[in-house]
Amino acid sequence: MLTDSERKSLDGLLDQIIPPNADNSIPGAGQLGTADFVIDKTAKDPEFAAALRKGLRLAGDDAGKFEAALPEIFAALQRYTYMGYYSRSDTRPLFGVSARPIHPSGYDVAAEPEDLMKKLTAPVVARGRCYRET
Amino acid sequence: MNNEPVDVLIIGAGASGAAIAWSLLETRMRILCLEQGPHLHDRNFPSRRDDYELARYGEFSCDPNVRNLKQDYPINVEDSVIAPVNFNAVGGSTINFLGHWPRMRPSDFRAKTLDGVAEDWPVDYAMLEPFYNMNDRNAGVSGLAGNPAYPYYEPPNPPIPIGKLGQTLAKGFNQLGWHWWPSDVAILSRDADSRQKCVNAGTCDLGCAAGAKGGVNFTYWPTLEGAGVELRTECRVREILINQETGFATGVLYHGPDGQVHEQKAEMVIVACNGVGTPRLLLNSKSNLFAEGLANRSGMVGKNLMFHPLTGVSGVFDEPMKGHEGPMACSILSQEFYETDPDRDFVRGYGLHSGRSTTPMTYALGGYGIDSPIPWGAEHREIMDEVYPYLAGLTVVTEDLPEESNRVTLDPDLTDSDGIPAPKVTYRVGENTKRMLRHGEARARELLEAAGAKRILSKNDDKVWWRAGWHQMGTCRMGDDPERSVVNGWGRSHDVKNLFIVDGSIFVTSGAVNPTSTIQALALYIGDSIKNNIANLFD
Repeated sequence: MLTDSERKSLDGLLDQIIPPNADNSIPGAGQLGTADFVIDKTAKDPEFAAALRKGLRLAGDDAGKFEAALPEIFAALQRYTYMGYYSRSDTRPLFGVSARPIHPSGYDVAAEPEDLMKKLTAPVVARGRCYRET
Repeated sequence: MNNEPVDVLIIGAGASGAAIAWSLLETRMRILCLEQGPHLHDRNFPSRRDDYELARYGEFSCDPNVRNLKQDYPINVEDSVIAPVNFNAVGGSTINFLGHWPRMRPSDFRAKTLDGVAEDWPVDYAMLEPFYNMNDRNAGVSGLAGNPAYPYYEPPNPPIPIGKLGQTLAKGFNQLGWHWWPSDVAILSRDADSRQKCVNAGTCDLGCAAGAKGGVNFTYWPTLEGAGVELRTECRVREILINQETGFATGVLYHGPDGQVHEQKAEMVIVACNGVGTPRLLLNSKSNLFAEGLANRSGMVGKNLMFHPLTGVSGVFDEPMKGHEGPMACSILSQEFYETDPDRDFVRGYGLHSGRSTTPMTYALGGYGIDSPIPWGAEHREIMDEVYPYLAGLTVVTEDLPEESNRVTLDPDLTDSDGIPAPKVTYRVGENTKRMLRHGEARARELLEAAGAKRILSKNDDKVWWRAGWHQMGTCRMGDDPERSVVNGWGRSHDVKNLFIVDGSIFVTSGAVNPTSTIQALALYIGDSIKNNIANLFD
């Protein structure tokens, strides 16, 4: 568990790792609560938890300072941030990907009409065989 | 556990083990398959979960060193620039393979004769063609007939949609006058054989919960189990046993799910453990007769490991490419640079495969098979908003030539959860391949520009993708010369007359295509040869 102050720093840090877009229609990682995912990782990895706290003490919510001080821990934090942020069902649609589990529905992708495929492949067919006889 | 002797013991329930079991069904021999992994049900595949992408970095990682499950064996990759990847369950690596299904080409079987490199195979395309066709029907392959890069054949199902991404790239290829064709895939484009067609989920590596992908868990195994083939799961073979007087295989020792070591006797043993697992098992099966490992009098077991070293180039287009919609593997494939051209500074060649752009998390973490996250901060925002949705990419898939120094050995310290020595992979990319990769990267860039990309993203270095060791070939190669090969032209060990190998380890060369269709065609061919030689099989 993090203290309130540590949690606040972590939220700020995550907003620097994945910042919001200009009009805030895509929230940053801190705003979206990605810290919960990171904290869950610390619960399973005491070494990472201790190092994260150390980084927060040294750098506060300054991501550049954190990376310079503890590059390996920052790399792990960056990875967890990406995982936590993009695995959310409310994040995926912001990038054109379905919110729901992808099965069983998947996506509707229309098969190309036969005449389109014929037209597209016609130049390839016209060039003729392109393998070596043995 | 009933360990009564069987006629045929197959080790491994993946692509090749399933195919040869199917081929041997009609013999009515008693067939047993031992598989170190469990049976997985499609309802448990991760793509039915809300956080499905996370599985790619955990229990469904393609890397056994990441999954680290009980059924996985670790692989020492300290001396390799490519990490082998796999999956251990009923279905083997067809559980998480992408179903890309190009055949090898006629010249692939004659590299020595045509180009003076590697060795010729003891079989050729014409011999395998009927088995390619048979296997395509069993797997439910989709594709477009008439590809001028091959002798004529007809895939059993129409092609999967190539989508906006494929159409865009196809126009670029046409502009340059280069070969391309919709890819053959072992993915159903229409409902068939009680299986559902592809729903374009883009998560083929997470098991295909639709059952559209031609993993052998969906294709061969339901038939095999229905026909009485015994499949024993969570059974890891420790060693193959040999009668020290006759030199014949008598069966195996295996670790069962009860934690005990069992002996299983068999008249014939068929190894189907892939290009890393098979040499590992043979090297672990030492005896007075085979002090250097079973079936290894040639000294070739474990040597000549081939992968397909990969690199990728992406283009950023004006419109969204919807790269996450549709099968991951490939939408179109160019073999313009597949054959040797004396004007180039390398022999043999490569394919250009159109890759899709995956889902946001996987892209942010560096892409499928790559551990190199995109930058954080403002640059991250710009990439995810302005680049990711507009991407179309090409993967350069090179032919790897066999080199004895690229090899699988046993690690002196590392073991699996049953204490069996783990494999160590020693692998570097050869100079010929490096030249190919550079050539391919330049051509991919040229193509993307022709297709209308406004910006090109490429690494511009000699590094290949790290987790690209899907295709593990060559480590028990076939051949007519017992001094230079491990098995003969129909998969039988030169040294042990009732021992067969049917997986990618028997490949002589790698071609520049995904190998599973050829692995299975070979397994069916070997099964047919066993049936044809049944009267004097062990002579």
